[in-house]
Amino acid sequence: MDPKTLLQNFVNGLSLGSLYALIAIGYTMVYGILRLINFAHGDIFMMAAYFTFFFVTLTQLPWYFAAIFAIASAAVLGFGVDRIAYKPIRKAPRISALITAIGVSFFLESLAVVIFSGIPRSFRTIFPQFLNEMIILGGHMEVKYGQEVILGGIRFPIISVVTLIVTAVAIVFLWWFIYKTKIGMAMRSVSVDIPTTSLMGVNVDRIIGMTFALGSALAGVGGILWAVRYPQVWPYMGFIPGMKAFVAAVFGGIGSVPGAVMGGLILGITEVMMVGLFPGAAGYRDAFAFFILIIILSVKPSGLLGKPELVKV
Amino acid sequence: MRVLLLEGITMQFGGLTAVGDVSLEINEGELFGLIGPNGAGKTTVFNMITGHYKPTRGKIYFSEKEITGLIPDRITRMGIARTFQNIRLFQDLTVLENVMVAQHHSISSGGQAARWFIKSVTRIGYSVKEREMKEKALNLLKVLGIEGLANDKSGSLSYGAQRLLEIARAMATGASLLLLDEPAAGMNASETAQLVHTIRKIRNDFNLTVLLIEHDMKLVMGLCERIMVLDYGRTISEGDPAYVQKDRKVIEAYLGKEWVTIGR
Amino acid sequence: MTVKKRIVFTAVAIICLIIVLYLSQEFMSSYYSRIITLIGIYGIMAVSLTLVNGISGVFSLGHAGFIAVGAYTSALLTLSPQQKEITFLIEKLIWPFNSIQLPFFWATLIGGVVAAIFALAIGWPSLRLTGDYFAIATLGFAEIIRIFALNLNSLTNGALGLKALPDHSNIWASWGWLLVTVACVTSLSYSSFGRALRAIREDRVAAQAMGINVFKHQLMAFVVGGFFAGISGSLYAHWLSTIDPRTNTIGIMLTFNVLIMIVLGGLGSITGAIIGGALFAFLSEWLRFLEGPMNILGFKIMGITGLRMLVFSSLFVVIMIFWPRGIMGRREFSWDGLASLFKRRDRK
Repeated sequence: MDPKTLLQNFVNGLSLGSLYALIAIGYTMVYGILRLINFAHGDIFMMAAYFTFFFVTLTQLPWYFAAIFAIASAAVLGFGVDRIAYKPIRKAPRISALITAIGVSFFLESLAVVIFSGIPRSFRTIFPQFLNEMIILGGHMEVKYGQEVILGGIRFPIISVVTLIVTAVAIVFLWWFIYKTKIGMAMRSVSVDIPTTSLMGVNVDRIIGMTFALGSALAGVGGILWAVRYPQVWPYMGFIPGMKAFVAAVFGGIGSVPGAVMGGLILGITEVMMVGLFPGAAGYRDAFAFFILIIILSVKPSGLLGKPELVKV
Repeated sequence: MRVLLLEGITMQFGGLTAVGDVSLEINEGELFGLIGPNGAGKTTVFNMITGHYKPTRGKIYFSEKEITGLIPDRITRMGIARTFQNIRLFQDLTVLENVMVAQHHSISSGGQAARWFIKSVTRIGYSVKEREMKEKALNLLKVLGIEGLANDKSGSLSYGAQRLLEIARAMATGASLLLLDEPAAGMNASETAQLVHTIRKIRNDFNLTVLLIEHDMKLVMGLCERIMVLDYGRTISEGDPAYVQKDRKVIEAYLGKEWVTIGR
Repeated sequence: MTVKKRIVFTAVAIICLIIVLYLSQEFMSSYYSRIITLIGIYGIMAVSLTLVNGISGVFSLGHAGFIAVGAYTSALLTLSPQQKEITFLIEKLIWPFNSIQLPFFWATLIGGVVAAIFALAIGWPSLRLTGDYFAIATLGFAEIIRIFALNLNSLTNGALGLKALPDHSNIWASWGWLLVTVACVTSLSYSSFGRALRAIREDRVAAQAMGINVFKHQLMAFVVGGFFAGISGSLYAHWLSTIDPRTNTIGIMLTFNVLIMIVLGGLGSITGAIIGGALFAFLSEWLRFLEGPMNILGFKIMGITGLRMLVFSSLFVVIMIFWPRGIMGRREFSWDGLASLFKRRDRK
């Protein structure tokens, strides 16, 4: 790989990775508090993309209204999922909670099939066209076979850069929220010790609900950016990105927000680089994340920044 | 003959030393007590012997073979079995099944597992073994006086009966060294008296060596032949009950320094 | 009830079942006998997953992977060389599959064995994990299997899948294999090995302290479960007569369907799994009307695709929240239980 392609892949990988990071944060926050893999998280990501699509097609309002609406709806949806499905089984064994989460995930997917139909819809006209155009740095124009071809240079879509910026802003916001607000403090406290926190007079269920809402809002941001990048929406679009984001969360150390961001970025970059290095293996790119997962889980299950759990005897 | 030897075992969790440099020797047939205030590290010592924790430093020998850091089921198969302070029975299984499970390793360890697996699935030549295991289990339940509960779910038993079942289950593994973690906790005075009698009886009848943790001083002093006292993870005293009872350091550890001064 | 009586009852029940199956084969329309066949296949899928998820206390989400392995293996063995020549358009099928053809029984058995080998290879690294981590790792492996199926053109025909499989899956094949599955899984789970597995499910640490090698036992359950999943995969492929490597046929969706069956029947009960499988097969046929055109209060509406899945997933979540033990819980059907049920009725 020449340095230019390397840089180009790096930018694309970084932007893909930041999408994984946005979703991974939601997984890691919920796991940190409830020790629950919220399977439905990837489907909230999908729902947000659909909300944007239908908001724009139905109201004809500009895309930024749609984005705000979709992110807010994703937050409400996440909150609702927790209230309806997870809250009644808080005391049940962890495995029951996991099974329920899988059920919720399929519920949301089949709901999307019923409401929005299973046919993929193009997202191309929803957001401004320029986002999918290429930024070209360096290189020179040449006429080859009667066509203008750009040779050399680095090229990547504008959406990659936008994604990076949006993710950075979202993470700064999240940091501020977790470390500088009262609710954030309560969240951190709940993740350490639920009974004690509730003795301090904190409404734990409300804080858990807020965590779901916050994580889902970030997944919503990710969902919209994803739909712009691969310009289509369909009911099962959340499964693979959701699983990869989960891998990222485990990689970074589940329960740790900085870990999720780091895991997401590393996963995105290595995935793009792998495809760049071995174009023949492109069909296997979705399997790659699972290989990484299995390797991490067998070598260091607590991830890069996570703390190992001690089995009490 | 020496059954168990601990050589300066130490267990650190993060920066905290739960057990520091504990050495211990137990001979065959002994009834040995491990006592100390709450949080002294007694259960941690058990967990290291049975392989649930790997000691940070030090070595453990069982019948002159080193067992430091081996996995728990391997250690049990070698002949050390335990009970748990916070009772860990298989709640959904019956009392009888709990004891039979503990014999399972006799058909599932080593190279015979495949043979028995095929016998179990095809049911050819299996029922003899099943009957044998059941008889042995019933016999053990009888020894502990809970044979009448054999078909009850173990989760439905009284606290005292659950503790006895834990002992029966540990014995069913065929171990020669039993580690009992607070066997009398939650028992009333008459149950405790009965337990002392039972422990002595099983030691004699089954040629066992017993290492026990207990808070009930009357039980420990009356039952154990030798005692070790732990405080803050360190050995502060060791000897026969009469010696330990008079040891000033022991009284200090349990009741505080002031009490010793006042008492004098 | 004596053992002898129980054996007699069971034998009579099996003979009755065979007669009923024979009659339905002879006199029912091919549509119904296809559904009865499917019930048998779902039963095998559900019972094999129950052994893993219900009895041995690990939670696998990789069942579809083993079903897929069994399906592909046996399909490659039952298709005639000429048929394979026509089917494999992208790349030629590799040796030895391009030149052999085996009877259905042997193809199914080999499908099961290959699936069991996969289960061994997957269980070995994954079973070092516990709880939800194991669930995710097995889901990951199942996805890897599917992605390979989608890309290994010279072995699986890639995205085109396999078509025109001979319709070998009839009532006798599916219910015969169901009987074998139930007999093996039941005798295993009511042996000392099954007791050990249930002990591990109840308390892993205590089971270890009783000398049980947890890893070895869970691996054994996982491999046996994988074997029967492979068998069911072979039957399923020859029932559908196609294999399609997309998500909704052999992907996570299939695992989810089997999960519905065992949750419906009661996680941990073999009889519950069979009931769950039958209910699922029945409901998914019966609910077909939801997806066809309907006439509600004089309004004609077009069918809505996906409505069945929505019903199932809502049902699933509702069961988990309000009725987490399913129909049977961990109880099993037994003649004694049936007898006492009647006795109680009499007394009333």
